Amino acid sequence: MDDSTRRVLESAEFRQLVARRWRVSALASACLFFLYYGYILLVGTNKAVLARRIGGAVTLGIPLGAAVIVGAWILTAAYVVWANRSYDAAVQRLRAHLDR
Amino acid sequence: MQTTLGTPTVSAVVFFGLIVLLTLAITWWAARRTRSTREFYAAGRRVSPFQNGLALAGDYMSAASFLGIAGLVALRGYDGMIYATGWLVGWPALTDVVAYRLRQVPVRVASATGGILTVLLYTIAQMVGSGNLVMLLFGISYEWAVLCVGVVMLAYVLFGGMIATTWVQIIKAVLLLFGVTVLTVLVLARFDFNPGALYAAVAAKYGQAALEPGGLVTDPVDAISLGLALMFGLLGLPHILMRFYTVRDARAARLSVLYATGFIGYFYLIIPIVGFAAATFVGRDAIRRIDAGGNMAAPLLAEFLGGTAFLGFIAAVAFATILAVVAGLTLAGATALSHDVFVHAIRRGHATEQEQMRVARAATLIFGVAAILLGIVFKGQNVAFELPRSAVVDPLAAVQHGGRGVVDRHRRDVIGRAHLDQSDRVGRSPEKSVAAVPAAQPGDRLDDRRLRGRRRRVAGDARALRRGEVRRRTSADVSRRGGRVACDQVRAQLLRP
Repeated sequence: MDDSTRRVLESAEFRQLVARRWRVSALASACLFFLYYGYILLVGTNKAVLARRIGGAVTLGIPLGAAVIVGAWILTAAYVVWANRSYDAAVQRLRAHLDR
Repeated sequence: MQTTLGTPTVSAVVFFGLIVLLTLAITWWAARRTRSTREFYAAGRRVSPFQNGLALAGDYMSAASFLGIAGLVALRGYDGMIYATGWLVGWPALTDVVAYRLRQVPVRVASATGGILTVLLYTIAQMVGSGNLVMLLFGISYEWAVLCVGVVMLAYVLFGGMIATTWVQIIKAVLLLFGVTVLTVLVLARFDFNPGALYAAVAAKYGQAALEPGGLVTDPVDAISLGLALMFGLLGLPHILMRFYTVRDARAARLSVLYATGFIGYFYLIIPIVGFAAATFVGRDAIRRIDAGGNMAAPLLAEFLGGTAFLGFIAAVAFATILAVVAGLTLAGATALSHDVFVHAIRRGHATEQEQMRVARAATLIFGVAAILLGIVFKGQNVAFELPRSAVVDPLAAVQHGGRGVVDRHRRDVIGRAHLDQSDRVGRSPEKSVAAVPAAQPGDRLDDRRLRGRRRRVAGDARALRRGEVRRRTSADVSRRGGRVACDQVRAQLLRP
């Protein structure tokens, strides 16, 4: 391994990047699990909440189900925007380092 | 209500004919662009994120989920909607797992997902489903239906490879999204665009229980297992994973997931409306009379709202859906067969480009014919419309296979992009290490001679390792060496014109 690679691997910037990516991934996964399993466990354990009528015949379960779908998409969007803007830019900077 | 479903009406045949003609024209166009294995397997990696998003969504919105979920909602009310929510949730988890771990050679995927047998079983399930479905939709016999699907699908894959398979899937996704949107607008128009009125009508006809969770999920264990199956079942679909190799890089792969989840989310948001409307207008008994599983709810609703012509359109789109998904599966199966078995296991990685193309096409033919024959043999078996749940664990293990610590993986992600990944050699059997070195392909960033030289060195190392002449590498050795190789490669890339 030549010096420039070692410098990159041992640099604070690289370590921070690795740690940051892990944190963001973990946070996104946690949100998703909370969102989906929160909903599905509600279905499994407390149907009365979902069966509550919120106007006419519409039950609370219908907007909640839709919210899970929309929420999952928003989480995906947030993650993709972060990865493509912030993370990829940092990777590019490191690559530039490596070449020098 | 009277229905023409199950009889080959003029409009159904015309729409079906148009779709087949259009897709075959695209195959002809794609065939002229498919000269190398890189194009055959991965569409030359020139698919845009938006196009790939549509194709991914198309793969995922199979006949099973389109007809099946509409039917579930029609017959079982809110419980069907629970399925619809779960169908989307596996996607975000896929965003990066695939984008950065499984991104080497397109064909790694096929082996990662458990190989040919898994793909074949899944293809047979789709074939049996398609035979039954086409029989229901057009009234032709089961054997003819399977043969018809098989032959058209083979034409796509054999001549057009991944380019044709992608465009067929894109066309189908657009037609399906268009069809379901029209259906939803027609439904809502009957209720002055007030969904509440639709739910009121459902409650009036079937009682409030239709809008409440019922018997599908009864306890937390049920809930967790359904959730896991829906979430991770996705990762077991080889034809979906293969699509991540048709785009340029990880950034494009992530964007295509974003587009795909957008289309899929929209689809699953409106499909329950179709299901509830089918229950209201067509009626549960009428739906069950045609097909006990409720799969014909959406086509029946289309006929009720838009007449025979619209039914013909929806039926043709459902057929196109099957064609496109089976084509993707066949490509995945042929990839596993030709690349993993022939190139790596039989020829130890030494095969010329022309040879590989010939074998890829031969493998497609073998796989396709086997799928048609087995589809006919398995007639009447209730294997269709099931998520490949048994394949859930394998791909996850494959993805996590490189679990050698976060730093190591991220090092490869950041400076890697290496076609030849040295650190893969730690902790693997020597034979596997040799197989892990990808065969050189034209257009690869490293020139062929260098790659072949490396392959020989790796094979030599493996032999020495077997004889016990050298100690197994420690991860420290490898990261030293891997770092140097990665450096070489980054330089080589930068020097390229």
